[in-house]
Amino acid sequence: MAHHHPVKLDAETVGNFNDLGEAPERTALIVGVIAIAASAFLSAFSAVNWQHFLFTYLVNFCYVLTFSLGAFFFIAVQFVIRVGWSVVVRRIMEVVSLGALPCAILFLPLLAVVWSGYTGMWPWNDPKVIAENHLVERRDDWMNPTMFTLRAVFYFLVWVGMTRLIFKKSTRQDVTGDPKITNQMEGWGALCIFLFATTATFAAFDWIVSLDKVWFSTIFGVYFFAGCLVGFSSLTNLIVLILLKTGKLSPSVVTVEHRHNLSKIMFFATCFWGYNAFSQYLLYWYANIPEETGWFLIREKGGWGFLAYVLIFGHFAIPFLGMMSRAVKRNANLMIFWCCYMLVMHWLDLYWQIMPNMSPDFIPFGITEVLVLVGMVAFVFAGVMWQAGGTPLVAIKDPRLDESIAFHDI
Amino acid sequence: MAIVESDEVAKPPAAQPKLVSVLAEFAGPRELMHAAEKIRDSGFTKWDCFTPFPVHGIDDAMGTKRTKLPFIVLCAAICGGTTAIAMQWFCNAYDYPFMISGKPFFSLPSSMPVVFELSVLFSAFATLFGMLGLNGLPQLYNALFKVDNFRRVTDDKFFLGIETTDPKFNVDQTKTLLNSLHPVLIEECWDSGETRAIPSIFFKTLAMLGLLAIVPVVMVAQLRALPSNLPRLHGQWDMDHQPKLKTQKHSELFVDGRGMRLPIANTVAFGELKTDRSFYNGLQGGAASAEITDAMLLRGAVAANGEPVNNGSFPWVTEFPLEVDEQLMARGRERYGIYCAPCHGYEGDGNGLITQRAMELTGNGRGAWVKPVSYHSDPIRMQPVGKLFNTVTNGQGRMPGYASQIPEKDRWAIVLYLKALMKSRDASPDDVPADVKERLSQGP
Ligand code: HEC
Repeated sequence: MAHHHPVKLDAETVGNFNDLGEAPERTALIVGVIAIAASAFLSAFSAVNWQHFLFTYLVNFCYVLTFSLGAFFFIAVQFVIRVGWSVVVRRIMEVVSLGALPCAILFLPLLAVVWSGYTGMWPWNDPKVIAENHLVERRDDWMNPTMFTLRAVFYFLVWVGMTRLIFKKSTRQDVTGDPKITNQMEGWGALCIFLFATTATFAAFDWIVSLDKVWFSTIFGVYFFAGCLVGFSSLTNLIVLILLKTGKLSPSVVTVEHRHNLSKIMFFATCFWGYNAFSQYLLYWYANIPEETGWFLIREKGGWGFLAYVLIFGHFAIPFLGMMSRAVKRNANLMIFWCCYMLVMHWLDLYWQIMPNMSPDFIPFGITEVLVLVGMVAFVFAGVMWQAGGTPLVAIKDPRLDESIAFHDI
Repeated sequence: MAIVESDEVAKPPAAQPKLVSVLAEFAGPRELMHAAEKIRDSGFTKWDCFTPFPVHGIDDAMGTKRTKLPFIVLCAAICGGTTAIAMQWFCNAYDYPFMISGKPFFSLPSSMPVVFELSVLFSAFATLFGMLGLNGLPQLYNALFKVDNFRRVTDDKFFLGIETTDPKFNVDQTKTLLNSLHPVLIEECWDSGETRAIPSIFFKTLAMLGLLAIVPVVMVAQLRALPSNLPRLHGQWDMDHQPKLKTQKHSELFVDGRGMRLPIANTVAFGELKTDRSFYNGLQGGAASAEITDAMLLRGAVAANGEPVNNGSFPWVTEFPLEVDEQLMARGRERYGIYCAPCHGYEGDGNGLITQRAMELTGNGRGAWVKPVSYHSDPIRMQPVGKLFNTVTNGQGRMPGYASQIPEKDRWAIVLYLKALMKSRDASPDDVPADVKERLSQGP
């Protein structure tokens, strides 16, 4: 067609992840480890602070993990339904998904917490709670340190294994240009979707739902999944926009059409999140069963109640109206704002889900939150960059690359 | 044979063909796009491109403005949401308030699903009809259909047409302009001038159907508004009148006219032989209770003289008619927690969650509730176990019976637990076993 000419890409012209800066991963690693260690040290002197630190750790661990999981799922979908448009941005998603490996390392301290017999976090790890509570006792076969560890190992084997596999295959294609790899990934993708759905659901139960003694929510897996999509889509979009802004990505490769689509995914994720968060609430509201409503009861009062409103409006209503317009989705500066905004909201969402279990009466926000967040993000960034190394920013020999570049949003 | 000339006057006036537009065919989408840009730049407004498939970028090339459809849809969605809220408030809180398990008549969370549904429904309609309206569809006739070459536009041809109604239109100049764009061919599109009105029979039929459609509505309205001694209209006769026996209904089949049959005289159904009065009724057996019928045990029973039956003086058993052990006690405690505690509370003070909530509502003037008596009050504490058993079985005062939900053995288990509850508030140091006493006196 008249308005575009196929762009020939090669490793030189598109640039790679090493061009982004002078060994940023080393600085990030140092910052990450120091920040986490510092907040752990500051908290170690009182039991209350220590518990606060551990819960904060869990919040931020879930936060950085959701990016990787969302990307993992989304890439799998791209392969399975043979999506053309997303090829130019898929490499960036692949790299985001590589966060699974550093997250696996970040999980080790949580395992240590369970095995040390620490009782201030997951009530099923407390023999006293088990003895006193019939429901917890009945769950003991499933919720105990051994089973917890076995499952976690399985989750991370899947996540790290699959994200590494996708990345390896995709970068191999950069060299060989073998279209067979694309066909193979279709099959792998289907398996990945299945594995993602099961592991993410069970992980959400293991780590977040089981913070409460008796609470359960059959929809929670989907709620968590919605969070993964919100986090991943905002982060990916933000990275793409920044790479474009700084000239690392060429606007003739990643065009306004691709940005528009990425923003649509963000918009979708926001709606999907609202839909699930509300469905969960509505069913509890109707059924009105004590062991279910208890979860909302503490989250509706005091500071948590205020935060709940912040989420209803801030995580759903405002971005829903704000990102609805096509003009906004195609405006890079506005979208940079919305990406950052949604990343904050996503963090608040997880904070609101996890933290009240430790502090039901007030929001304990403090320096710990900031330090751990900075530490985790830096650590995962380091891990991701170290894996990405010199790979090109775009899957340069993907058979659907031309189709992707020519993509035009009607 | 003579040829009769038809009358000149009866003939309709000869149709006046009229030039509608000038069409230019182009070799492919690229050429068409190029031409469209030129036509756009020369300021034409009434023209269009015709292609066999959607061509990316043609909107820009034609200078088409973005559609207003999204705004129409947004407005419709807002209307839908508002309608949903108003409707639910009107139905549930205003026109027909109906209390369902203590929930508020109207509340936002429970309205949300309908808000969602109606917003989507209204938007869907707005999208469809808005699209049709903005495009001026459906269009049953267009002069272009008469151009032979144009038919292949759905197959492999690309056209650009400028209408004569365009203010800048001038046959010769327009043709020259089009020619300068290297078309494959230029063609004129003529309207034959035949009348394009829809045949009047169409409207007549429509009017007839419209009139007929009123008939059922009028009939329904009449039947609803006026009294009638005709039998009800049955939409599906054999669904309404099935040839089967129904409970509590008359039947022609049997001589006595009853649909329901009585048990055959002198027979007992399996598992229904309940001769042990102490176990099944909590009454002492034999002559002592021979006068007492099952009906007299029921809640609110009335004697032959119209006085309420006072079962307080019945010969109730005072000992448990089954073996009492720890297992029975544990069972009783569990069943009590399920069936009784919601009203009576775990301690038996009559402060269960249901009671608390109900008293709160009663306090607000919504409904009436009797607070259950405390088990620790003397009249209840003194009751023989047989009477307690009968309360659980048949109910007492405002409390319903639980015979249909709790089997006899479990009812006795509950009674056993009731006794334990009562004991817990009425024990003296002498009741404590020696070894426990010793342990208690040592302190923690
Ligand atoms: C729906 C609420 C409700 C439940 C459930 C309920 N009760 Fe009651 N109960 C009452 C009320 C109300 C009264 C007071 C009745 C009255 O005086 O009108 C009462 C009264 C009683 C009395 C005193 C009767 C008397 O002689 O005055 C006993 C004993 C009793 N209940 C036992 C039980 C046991 C045992 C159960 C469980 C099987 C049970 N109740 C379940 C509401 C309940």
